[in-house]
Amino acid sequence: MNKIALIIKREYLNKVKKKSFIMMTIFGPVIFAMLIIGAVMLAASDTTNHKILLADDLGYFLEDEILVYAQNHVDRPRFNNSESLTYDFRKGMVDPKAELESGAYTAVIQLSEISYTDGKVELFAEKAPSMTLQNRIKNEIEDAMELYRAKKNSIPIETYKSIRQPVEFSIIKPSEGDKKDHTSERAMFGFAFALVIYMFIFFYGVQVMRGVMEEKTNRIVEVIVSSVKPFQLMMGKVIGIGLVGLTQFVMWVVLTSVISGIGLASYQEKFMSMQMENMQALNQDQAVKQLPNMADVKNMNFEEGNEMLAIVMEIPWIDMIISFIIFFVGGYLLYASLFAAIGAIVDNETDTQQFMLPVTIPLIFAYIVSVMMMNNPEGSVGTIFSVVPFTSPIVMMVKTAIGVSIWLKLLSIVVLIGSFLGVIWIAGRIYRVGILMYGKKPTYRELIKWIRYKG
Amino acid sequence: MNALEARHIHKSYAAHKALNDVSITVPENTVFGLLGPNGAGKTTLIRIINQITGPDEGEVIFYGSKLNPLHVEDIGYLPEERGLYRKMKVGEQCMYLAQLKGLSSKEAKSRLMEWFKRFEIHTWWDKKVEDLSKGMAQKVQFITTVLHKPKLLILDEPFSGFDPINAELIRNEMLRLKAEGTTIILSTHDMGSVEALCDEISLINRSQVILNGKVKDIKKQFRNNTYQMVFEGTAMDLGIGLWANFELINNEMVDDKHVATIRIPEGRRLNDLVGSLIQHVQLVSVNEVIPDMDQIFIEAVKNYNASHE
Repeated sequence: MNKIALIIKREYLNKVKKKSFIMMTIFGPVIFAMLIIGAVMLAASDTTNHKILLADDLGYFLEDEILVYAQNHVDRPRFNNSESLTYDFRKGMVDPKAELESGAYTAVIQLSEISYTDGKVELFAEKAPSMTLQNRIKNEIEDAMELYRAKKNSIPIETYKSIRQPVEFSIIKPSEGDKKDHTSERAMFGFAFALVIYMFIFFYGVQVMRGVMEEKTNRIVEVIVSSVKPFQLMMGKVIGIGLVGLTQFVMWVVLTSVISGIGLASYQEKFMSMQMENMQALNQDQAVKQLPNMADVKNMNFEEGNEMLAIVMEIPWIDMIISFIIFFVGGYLLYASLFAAIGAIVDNETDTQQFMLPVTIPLIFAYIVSVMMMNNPEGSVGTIFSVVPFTSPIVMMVKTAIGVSIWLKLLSIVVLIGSFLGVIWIAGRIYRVGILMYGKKPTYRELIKWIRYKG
Repeated sequence: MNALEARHIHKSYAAHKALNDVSITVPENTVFGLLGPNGAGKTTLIRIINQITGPDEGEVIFYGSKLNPLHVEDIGYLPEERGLYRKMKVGEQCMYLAQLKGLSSKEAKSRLMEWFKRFEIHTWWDKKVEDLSKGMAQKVQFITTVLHKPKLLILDEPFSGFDPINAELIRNEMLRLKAEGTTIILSTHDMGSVEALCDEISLINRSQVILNGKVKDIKKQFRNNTYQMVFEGTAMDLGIGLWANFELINNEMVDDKHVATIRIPEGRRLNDLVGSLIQHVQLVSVNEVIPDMDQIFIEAVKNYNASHE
């Protein structure tokens, strides 16, 4: 059996059999899944039936919202009672504490003069309603108040709505067939990939460093390098731990989706019924044709959904996955070999700080550039650092999601391969001297001498 | 045939010259002592032989051919700074190290079983290394060093950390391996085992070989006409007998007899001494004092350092 394969095998099995690895691999996804399920449930979970007292000092709500609609025999577009939410209206100021303590209401909303002028509304509740519900109530109050203000100023509500129309940019690239542009959103998708590479390099790079240090401080290393070349030992470790990381990564993706899938499926029924109710509320709104804005809201929601789909469709997935693999592997090899060299230089963890800094700075810098690219996707900074080898593994993922010319990508890959070969060579030279040096940590000048040592 | 010849090896680290024109010749099937004070360059030379590092100048010839990476499997090396993977099991670890030396897993397993039985440690196979005592770990390390039946065995302080019983065990194993044809380079500060085991030595001091050859010859070379005489009589009688012609180095009483160490100066012989003494004291025995390796080591290093200050 090839010696480097033996080393990889030992590194891999040794790590994978560890209790901490097994725990992380199982509990990581459980925690992720719980977070996902938790987030979904939080959005949909408010199961209490809310009874809300809406007190209005000025009385508009009572008069117009309640009486006017009743007199005209039309269904109110707002404040309709449903199974999970019922409203009571009262004129004047109420004592929210007393009302809540009486147990008749789960929340009290007090409107006063300032609510009409500045839009400030107070909601009293011991237990805050869910965000979804809060938004729904807020939108309804906002909507009613707009109507009030329009009326007060003798402006037809349609006129008011048309005045209030917000501006929204549709960015269109003529060169790409006049399609709507989603560069920023795509950059975010790319960033997710970049983040995975960033975290992976950091986490497993440090593992490589620890592993090398362990071999050095255990004094096993001299035994091993009398059988294999130091370079083989270093690469075996880098590759072995890389494979451990990949295993964990794949396990996480699979387990997280399985667990959260099962979890969500079991809550699906409840989740669906909540959704249905929201849909019904929207449908009722739509029925009231004299209030076009609610229809707008619905359309907008619909459009947003479509847009999301459009963005997802626009991402060059195959390109993304191929690039992910290339830059993931290249970036990991580049950084992990440097981490291995650091592990070889020092005798103990505290000494690592000084040498880790120059390695982590470009990594963190690449992360910052990727964050910036979400704001300014087409900037030249992103283009430059998607080629610079120490940042390209992270930045290029964002760039790929945005769309990048094949030539720039090839250049970046060639530069990356060239530099990881170079860096591995240098790291190997430092490593082979460092693993047998104990005591005083070397200066940078000494490190350069190490690189030049013969044989 | 020589198992190993290192020819004119030079090696520098930054400002420090670790080896300066060092040559050693290790004949086949001998135990060769590589001696020297700490920091003299022994470990560097050993690392060059193991191809862990390369010489700046010079060459190493292994059984007639220039040292190359394939020779790694013919050499077994027990470094002074030796350790094991603490979290691994003993058996697992031995298998790994054996395979790195080129043994197939089947071969490694059967040889390990044999060795584990011989050292009576077969119950350790599934033990974790971190649960072993230092001496236990040393045994495991020794086994992994010799398991692949190397032609050349390099042992750096193999006895450190062993109790006398286990040290004896290792010593006997070394002699057994030698009888089987193995050449052994032994680097140690324990001069007792050098005398007991080594056929030849090289003494390295300050990056240079300052003494080498057969242990027998070196000892002869370091004789300085000193004799130990046991006699009955008084110190006064001895004084009269010696007069000013011989140098008395030491005189002590052992079991109502005198034991005197006496150096005969240039130009006189043992007969002169005996002839002079028998007139005054009752001689019981006369022995030549042959310096032990400890003394030779100290003397050689001191002389060299004094002449190179």
